Amino acid sequence: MTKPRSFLDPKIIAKLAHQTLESRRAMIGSVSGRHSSPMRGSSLEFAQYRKYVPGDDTRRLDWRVWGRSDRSYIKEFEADTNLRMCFAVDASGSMNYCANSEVGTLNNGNAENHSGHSKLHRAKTIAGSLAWLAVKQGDAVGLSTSHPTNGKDIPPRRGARHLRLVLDQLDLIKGEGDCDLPSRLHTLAERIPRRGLVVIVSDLFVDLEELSRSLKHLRHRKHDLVIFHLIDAEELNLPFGQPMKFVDLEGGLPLLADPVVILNNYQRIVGDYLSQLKETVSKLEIDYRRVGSDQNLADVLSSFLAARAGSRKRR
Amino acid sequence: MMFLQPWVLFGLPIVLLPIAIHLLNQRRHRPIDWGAMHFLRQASRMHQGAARIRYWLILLLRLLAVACVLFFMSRPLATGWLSLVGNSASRVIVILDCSPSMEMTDALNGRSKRASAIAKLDAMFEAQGNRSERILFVSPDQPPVILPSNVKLADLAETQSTDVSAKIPELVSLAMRYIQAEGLGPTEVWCCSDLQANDWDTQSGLWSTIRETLAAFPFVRLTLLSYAEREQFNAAVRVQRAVLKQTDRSSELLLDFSVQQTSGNLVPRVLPVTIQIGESRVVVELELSGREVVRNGFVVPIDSSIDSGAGTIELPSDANAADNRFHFAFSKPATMRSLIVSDNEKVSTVLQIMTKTSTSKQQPIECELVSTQGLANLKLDDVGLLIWQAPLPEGATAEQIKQLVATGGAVLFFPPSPESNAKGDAEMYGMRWLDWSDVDSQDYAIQRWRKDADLLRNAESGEVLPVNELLVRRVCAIGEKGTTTLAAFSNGASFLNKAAVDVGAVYFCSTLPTAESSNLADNGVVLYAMIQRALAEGSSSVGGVNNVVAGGIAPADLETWERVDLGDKTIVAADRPQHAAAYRLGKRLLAINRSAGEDDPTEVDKKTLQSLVAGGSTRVLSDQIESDNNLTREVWRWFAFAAVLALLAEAFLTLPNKLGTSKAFAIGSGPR
Repeated sequence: MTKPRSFLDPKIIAKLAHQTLESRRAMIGSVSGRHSSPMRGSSLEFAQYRKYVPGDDTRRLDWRVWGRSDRSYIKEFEADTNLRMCFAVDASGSMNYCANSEVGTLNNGNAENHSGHSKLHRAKTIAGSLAWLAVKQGDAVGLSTSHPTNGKDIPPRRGARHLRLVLDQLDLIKGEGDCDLPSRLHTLAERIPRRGLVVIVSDLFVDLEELSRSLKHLRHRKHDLVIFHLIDAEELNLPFGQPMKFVDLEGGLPLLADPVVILNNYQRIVGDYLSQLKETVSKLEIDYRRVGSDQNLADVLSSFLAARAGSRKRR
Repeated sequence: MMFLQPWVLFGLPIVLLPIAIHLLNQRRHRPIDWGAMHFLRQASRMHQGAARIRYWLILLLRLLAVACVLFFMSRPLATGWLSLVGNSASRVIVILDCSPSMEMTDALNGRSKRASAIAKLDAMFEAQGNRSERILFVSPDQPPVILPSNVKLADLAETQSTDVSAKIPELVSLAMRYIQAEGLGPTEVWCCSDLQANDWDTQSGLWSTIRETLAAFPFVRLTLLSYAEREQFNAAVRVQRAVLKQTDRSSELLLDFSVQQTSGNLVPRVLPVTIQIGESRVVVELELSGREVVRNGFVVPIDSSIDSGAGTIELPSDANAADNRFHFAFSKPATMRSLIVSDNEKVSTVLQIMTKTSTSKQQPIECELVSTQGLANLKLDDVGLLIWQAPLPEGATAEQIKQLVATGGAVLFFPPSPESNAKGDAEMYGMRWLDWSDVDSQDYAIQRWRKDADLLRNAESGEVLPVNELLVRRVCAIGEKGTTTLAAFSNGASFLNKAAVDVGAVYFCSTLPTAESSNLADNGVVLYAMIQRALAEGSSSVGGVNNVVAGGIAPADLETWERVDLGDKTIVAADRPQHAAAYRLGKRLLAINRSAGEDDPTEVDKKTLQSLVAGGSTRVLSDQIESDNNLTREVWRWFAFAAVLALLAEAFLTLPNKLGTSKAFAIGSGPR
């Protein structure tokens, strides 16, 4: 009997069921699928003619051309392949942050949309929902959790059984310790043998220089990259009106600070961080999605899928 | 610091309330689990220095605000101008300078420096509720006055103006001794003076004692309430000499007088100087073009029947009325009487010759020789100079001599002849004769003597007496205590000593005018000058006219004298020596005036003043006569103002850091 997954929302699943997950780049899969491939194959979409060379399959000779011009040409078609999709989920302590619904209203008054779930829970929802969709359309799904001591790697595979394994693993993830996402991404870049879609779900509270290097590494391996940046409005704007004791979710020393006093500096630092991140993702052509705690994940994923479906594929 | 409601200060621990709240708040920080510690730590680090200063400043301002509120509720009294240090002493000693220079008056409010100081001190005591015990010192010759709580300084006779120079070092020293003797606790000493150098006598040895006392008594605080010299015009008049010149047909008075401008701009002006003798009055227009004008030998014709009298010379009204009048007295020259007591014929002959040979035709001289056997009938009335060449007297004779000196007479002691072997063991004025010794004239040359004053001073033409030419062959050593050496031999032994007496003069010469002892007789000049000068000095008091500085005579000595000037005659007998006036007793006349130093406007500068009273808790408050600022006033307004300022500053520092204007980041603003 299948265990109920707390992070999987039927409403989200239902909304995504009618959508497809498209790759923005040509993938190299193991079987035929719905994603474009840089290889020539047997789809209905004509690709090109090329001269026959000994050894070519004679069944693919275009006899009509041979009849007209007495020359032998091979008729090639585009190949469609499946997708290797790998999730990199941040399991650091900071992902346990759960937005305060009271102060959340300070920013946009959108408290009714507030999920009340931690960032990690939402990360699991995103990863689980997309994994389900990918497996449904025949793509392979893998999982890598960035955890300093207990990181797990599940290589991409197809099938419902493998999906269960991935979901089980997602269910087991607990947020704790520092974030080692950049090193995990480097490992991932080496382990995924062919082009695939790497979906990073994290709050990205890491050194941006290191993160940038790891993302470049992935792009170098021709992977299509998606980042779901889980960050809350509170974390961006520090909307507290009194001195507070900030307890480090990643295990560091607590800090007494007056948000009112440090707000200007805080926002300046956050601004620099965001602009630096923006520059990185633009440069590396990464599909970047910033997801706040007050956003409906069904809408977020739906718009994500719709946007990808509309984008041109590159071979 | 003094407070009208000191019990409020029991609430001072409340000042610590902001610290307690701060500490409680530290513990009450709301905890929150936070992921974005990276940003937070960076922001906190960037703000750490400034934030810490700001936090401390806010805390300090809160402490200050609470303290100021408490202080203002306790109604503090401040002393001095902008000085918040008040008077907390239970006893206050007031030293008041009542000298003539303190009578400098403001033209607008008509208040003198002395009156201003008294008024301000009275106002201060009243503001303090007259709770302190007050002790008044005005003269070293008078005991301190302990003021009843309901009496004002202004109502006391002791605080009225006098013509006596204030002896500030003596007064301060007396106050210190009083504190020492009475064992007083916290004591505030207020010294009110115009800092005139004459009154402050910066060279006095008492200042070092005062400094030591102040350093030893940290609970004593000395406050100098000073009144600086003013720019108003003021002039002082003084008579140097009044001589009656009589001929068969007429009499005239020769006056030497001077007018000195002591303050104000030096602008040439004409002053009408009024000279009044009895009912007759002469007005002289005197052009004052510089700092001082001296008029010598001014002739005032008087009735030929008048052979003595008194008068005044007066200036028109100016900033200080106390130095506008000067009393003088005049009479026919009195006979200069001298008495020689000696058993040595050689000595007495020489001394008689020297004494009788007068240079003045107008002043007759009489000289009498008495042997030691005739001492029983010794009469010293009207004697100006007593020359004593015999063993030092004892008993009634000694008392007679002391009386002579006390009335201004002069005594010149010579040692008893060595042949008589009767030097005796008696002592006079701390001096006694020791043994005779034969000396080598070369070793006993006189090389240093006092040339500026006293018997061996230079001649008026500036020529030096040939004291160094004296040859001494025998010397009788002088056993002395507390005397001044006027001339000393090269080996340090004394040739001529002067005893320390307030009135009169007492001299001791260590050799005799005989050929065996010295060449005093052969040289002549030195001995003659000595005797004639001593005679003139002694006769000046014995003669018909005596000039005395105010305060220089005991009240008892004035009891039988009749006041002859036209001034205020309501002064009580005990205070008469302190006020300028002219008196008559028989044929003798006495003029009392302020001292010459009172006309000298020189002030003690602040640096010197600080050095005089350094070492203790001392402060100087400079006041102005026209100033209406009280010495003590309630200053709660300052504290209330400070509390408001502190709270405003605290509010400013705790303002949110442009929270409303800072740009908030939106979640949906990520790049696509």
